[in-house]
Amino acid sequence: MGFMRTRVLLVDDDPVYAMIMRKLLRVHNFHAHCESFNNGLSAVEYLEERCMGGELTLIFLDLNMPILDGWEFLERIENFASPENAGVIVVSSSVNDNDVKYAKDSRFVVDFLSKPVLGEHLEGLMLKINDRFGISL
Amino acid sequence: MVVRNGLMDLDFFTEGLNKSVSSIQFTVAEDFDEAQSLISAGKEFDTIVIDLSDAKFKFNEISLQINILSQQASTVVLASERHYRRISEALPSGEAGCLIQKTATPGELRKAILCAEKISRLNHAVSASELRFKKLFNSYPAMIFICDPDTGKFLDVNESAVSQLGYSRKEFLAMQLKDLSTSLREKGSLFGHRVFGGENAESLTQIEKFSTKNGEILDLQIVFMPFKAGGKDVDMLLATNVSSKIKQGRIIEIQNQRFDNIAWTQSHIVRAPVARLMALINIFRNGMIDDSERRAILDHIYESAEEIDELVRGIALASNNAKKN
Repeated sequence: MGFMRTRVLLVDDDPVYAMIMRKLLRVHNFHAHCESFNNGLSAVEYLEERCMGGELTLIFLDLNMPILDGWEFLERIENFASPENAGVIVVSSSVNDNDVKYAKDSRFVVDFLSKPVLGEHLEGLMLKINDRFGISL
Repeated sequence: MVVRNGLMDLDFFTEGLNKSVSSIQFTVAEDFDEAQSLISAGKEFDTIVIDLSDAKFKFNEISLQINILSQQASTVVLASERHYRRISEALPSGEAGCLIQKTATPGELRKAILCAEKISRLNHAVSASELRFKKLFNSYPAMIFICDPDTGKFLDVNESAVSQLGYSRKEFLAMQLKDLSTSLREKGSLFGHRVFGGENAESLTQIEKFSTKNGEILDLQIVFMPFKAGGKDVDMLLATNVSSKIKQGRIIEIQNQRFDNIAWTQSHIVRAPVARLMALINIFRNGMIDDSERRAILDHIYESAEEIDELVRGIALASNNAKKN
């Protein structure tokens, strides 16, 4: 598909977990830098201005958040983003099968990772991203 | 039975009739009183032939007598020419059961008897069918309301309706559907066919709220069947009390909602600090932190453990309170 740039967003209201995720992504060479947001609304507002063709946006999304939760976020991005250039990786403490099922019903969701996310999870995720968007990070 | 009324030439009559119908056995009553006595004594007859060819009688009285006797068996009357029309009209079998005495032949009499018997058999079959329907109607375990489609007025109800809703049949017949059904009243609908899909409704089911005489509100599952009775459109509503089923369903719904809430709390509230704790230990163990971060990570680990402790205590407290309530 030939993306000119890849943008990574981390959307989680738990600052400690956001810090852990940033470390994991960096250590596992996933991406050098990512933007962090502590609720879905600020991430939506950020993306509305920037989500465009030619750029791939990967969003690590928590589900249970104040202001705008992960589910609402998935609904809102339908208005301006396309699954062609935006992929969501749900990162949640939930181990509920229904949450996994509903999340995967969204055409944006690439994978559902249950916290705690480990290095091997990210390796598997890279393969899925490669399959979906034809890029290696 | 032949009711002579002192008129009939019995020898001639029986002789003539026996030629046509050899199996017929006669019992002769001289007048209406004797005929009544025989019936009261338990005698049963297939046909009653009454000779009324003499004009000396009061029509109203005779008409009453004919009606009484015709309820016992099929009736054939031999009338004078003058009274033929009036007597025909008074008989349940009409002209088929009435002959002009002067001109009647045994063959015509035989024909009239057979015809009257046939009509009588059919009437009995209809009565038996009506009786069976009535029995079924009243012994049917579901409530049945027969209503006027134009006014919603109850025209008939079965015993189940009386016993389950507590109103007497007389009270029902003084009311309309909307008087008993709170939900139909709220919808502003008075009548069955308008509620159940308009004039073209054939057979539909829905649940409506009905109040019993003692004020209890029941959920009735109603099957609506419009049909014709005596050439008139009526609404038949078959109603089953599904209140307990609905209540049970609501209890299950509430329980499922509670289970969903528990699952959500476990996944998002209880498991969040657990997952954070595991993730912190993971980065600590895998050397992903430098010395300057060590103290902060240990603090996060302790805070997460405290958060878990607080949640577990909160759950225990809520559980104890729930048991008390």
